[in-house]
Amino acid sequence: MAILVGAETRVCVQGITGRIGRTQTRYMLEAGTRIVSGVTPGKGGERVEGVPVYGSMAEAQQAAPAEVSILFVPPAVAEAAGAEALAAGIGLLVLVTEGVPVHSAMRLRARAGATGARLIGPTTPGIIAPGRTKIGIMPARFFRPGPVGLISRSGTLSYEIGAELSAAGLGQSAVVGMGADPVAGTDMAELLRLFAADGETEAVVLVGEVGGAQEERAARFAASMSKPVVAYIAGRSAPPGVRMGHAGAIVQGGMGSAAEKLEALEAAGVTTAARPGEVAGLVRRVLNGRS
Amino acid sequence: MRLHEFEGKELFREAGIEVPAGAVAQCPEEAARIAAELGGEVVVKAQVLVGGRGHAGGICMAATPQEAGRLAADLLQRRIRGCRPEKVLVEERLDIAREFYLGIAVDGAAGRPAVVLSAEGGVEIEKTAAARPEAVVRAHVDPVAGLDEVRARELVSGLGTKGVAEALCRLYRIFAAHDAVLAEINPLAVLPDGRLVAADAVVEIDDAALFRQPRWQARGQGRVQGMTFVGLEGEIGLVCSGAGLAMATMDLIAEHARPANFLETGGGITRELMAAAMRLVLGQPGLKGVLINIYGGINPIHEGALGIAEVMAGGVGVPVVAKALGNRQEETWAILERAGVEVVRELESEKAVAALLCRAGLAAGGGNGHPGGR
Repeated sequence: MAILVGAETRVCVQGITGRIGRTQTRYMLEAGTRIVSGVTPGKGGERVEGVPVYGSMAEAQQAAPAEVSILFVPPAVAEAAGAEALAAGIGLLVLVTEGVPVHSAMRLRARAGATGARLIGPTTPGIIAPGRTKIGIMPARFFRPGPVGLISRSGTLSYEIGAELSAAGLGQSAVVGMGADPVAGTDMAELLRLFAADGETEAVVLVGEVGGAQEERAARFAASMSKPVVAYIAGRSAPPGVRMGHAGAIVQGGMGSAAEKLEALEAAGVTTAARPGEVAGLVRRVLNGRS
Repeated sequence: MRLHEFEGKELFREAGIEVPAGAVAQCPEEAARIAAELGGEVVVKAQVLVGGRGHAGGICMAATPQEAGRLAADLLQRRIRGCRPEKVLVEERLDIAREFYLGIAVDGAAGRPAVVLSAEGGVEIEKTAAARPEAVVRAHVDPVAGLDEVRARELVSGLGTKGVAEALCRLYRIFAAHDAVLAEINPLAVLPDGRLVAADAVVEIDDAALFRQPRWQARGQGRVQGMTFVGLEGEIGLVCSGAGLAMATMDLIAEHARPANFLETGGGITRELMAAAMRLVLGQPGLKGVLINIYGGINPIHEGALGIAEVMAGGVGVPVVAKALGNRQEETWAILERAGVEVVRELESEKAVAALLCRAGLAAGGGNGHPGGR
């Protein structure tokens, strides 16, 4: 078991009969993920890539219980689908959907919290524990098993940095994309806490970007950690007051700039990289420095 | 999507929050007529979606309907912080005894709505909070349960004025019902007779929720679905999948040259979207090269490559370099190379940036830089 998921984790795919749901189900199965069910209302009885499809979460959980559900559903139904999964006993929701309203994300996070469950996302690439399971959309080819925990606000940047770590012989215990929306179901500080407590993780990489206060909060926790942490922040050339792609990435009123985040992280003893390509070398250095 | 003050005040009025008597005008004659109906002494407020409108001269006092007409004429042809108002709001002047601040915003890190209250309204709340944090009350609200009157009364108990708790509850109902990310009354004016009146209204609706907000849907149309483009003032065009990757690539370009734009495709790449993205980027003046940096995770990059090839076939006039990795990358490379795109097969974005700058004659060290030489 890495953080949150392991080789034995049983997974349900909500929205499995859609174009993206089908394709990603195939990729996840190829990566060894134990997908036990799929759910699409009105499509019960079908099979997708050999996975039985049920009409509701309750039916799916009755027939083939899962601990985790990954959602490939349209934004308009994401909140209802997530709530249905929580009501059916799912402990971890991985919400890949882009464009989920922020009020829906807030309510879903609160509902998950109230039942002791957890939400990752929205707009998350998901989680991969290389060599064990992949509950997400990240290409498995970029990742290798190993001792580095990777937390990223950006999906594609986690692929790049993960691949560079792998190429440098630094595999990953788990890679988690938090999603870059204004409200993330599980924040960076909380994921850092999980990696800090994980026996298989020897160092953690944080990949942040401008906007919000995730990195500052993570820095406060990092200050108390004994494991080394390396961070990269994207957007140092981003002009203030402009949304860089999604509502979460904006430097507003002088808050949330890359410089502020780097300062907070460095003050907490985190090693910072100026470019994505420097991360692997710095991880190697902090791991050597420890032994 | 930010609403105009007059739209925010419509919401307030419907929810039972009192607003000053007044109406919007699109021409000086209309402004003068509204002022006459209000008894002559009015405030004329430019309806622009920028902050600091008052400091920029966008709010004027008029003593007569004629003066209101003149001020409206002036405001309607001026630019307030770069924005030209299409309308002015003409309102009765308020005799204000005290001013409060009431705001509700999404606290992203906490994942909950945050209520912010202060007995010192009328100024920027950030400044009050920085100078005298004890003058500002902050509290989170459970997004599922919402805000009831009992909790609202607790929160406003230090403010000592009747009616503030009700106003706060009504503001919260607007915030929740309209999928707002910000709802603010600054100031909430207390009149000498004790009435509470919202003198200003700032409401911002979540763009992602417009599909379930029919009232505001039309205003949000015209926004390109899926991809985000921000024009900058440089010479290197950029097409990236993912905002973080796009910003990281921009940062790398900015070390030696200037990015012409930020473009993030989102997770819905198709042949058509990629062709549109390329045309948008290539349409910028003064371009010396285009860098494509994309990953195939949820995105079918082999389909996107067909869109790029379609645009390349029409002739582009500047070098185009691509790094495209992930699912079906080999297929993608073959399509791009046939179309005349230089494909960088390495992992690091640094190497793709160096290759493009070299082709564009902008490489660090005078243009003879070798790709991957950094």
